[in-house]
Amino acid sequence: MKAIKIVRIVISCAFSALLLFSGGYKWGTMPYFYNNVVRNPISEGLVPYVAYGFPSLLLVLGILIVLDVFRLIGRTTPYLLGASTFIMAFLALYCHLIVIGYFDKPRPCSCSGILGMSWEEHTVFNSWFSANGVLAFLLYGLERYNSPLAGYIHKNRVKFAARLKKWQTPSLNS
Amino acid sequence: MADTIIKFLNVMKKMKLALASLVIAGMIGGGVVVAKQQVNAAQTLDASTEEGATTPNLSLERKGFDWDCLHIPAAPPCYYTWSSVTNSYSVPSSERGPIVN
Repeated sequence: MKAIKIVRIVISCAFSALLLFSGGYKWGTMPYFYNNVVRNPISEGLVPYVAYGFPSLLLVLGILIVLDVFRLIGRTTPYLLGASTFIMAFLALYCHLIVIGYFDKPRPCSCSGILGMSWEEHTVFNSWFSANGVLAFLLYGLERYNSPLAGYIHKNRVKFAARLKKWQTPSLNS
Repeated sequence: MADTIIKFLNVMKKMKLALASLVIAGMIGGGVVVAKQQVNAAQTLDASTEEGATTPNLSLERKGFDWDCLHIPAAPPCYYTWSSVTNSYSVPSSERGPIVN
């Protein structure tokens, strides 16, 4: 169980490092990143929200994961892992669409700095991180509920049953 | 020895917030530093393409364009041509080719 926890924490640390670095990098090159977003297939009205919102979201998620790893906030691990994995999977899908030529023009890749990746490498990198995110999510289930997925399902089933019961019970005032 | 380790762990527990802040600041700072280095590199590239041109400085859009060129490995290098008619660079975003002054 300890090994599972260590693997899960290592993946969380990798996620936080990636998100914080990436968010910092995008804010550091904001005029360029903004220009890149303009050249991506996004509605014009959404460009400022994506350009400023996305790096901010990465930073917030990264900070929350660090706080979660240090146990400074509680009970957020599955949500944070889920959100990070979702973002990574979304980006991996987008990169994949670029690579297979779904969009008409070549798109600028703001493929976070130091690694200097191409779209193809970025696709592989994001897919690999998404898979790690899913693994960490399942490991957390195993660590917390002794089962990768059943714990989450059972917990939500119990919550749903409690809500249903509350809804079905007539209130005393009526 | 055990006491020392326990004392150290207790101090570490108290230092958690400081340590977390350090990690966060370090990672964000790292990203920003790398970004600034790359921005400087892109601006140096811009300056090198100014040889023979009459414009002293290139616009941010131009720099952004060069940035794009650097970040589309599949595409050939970008080119832009100096127009004496409009007295400005022509930067057709859909075209790619060797750098021409």
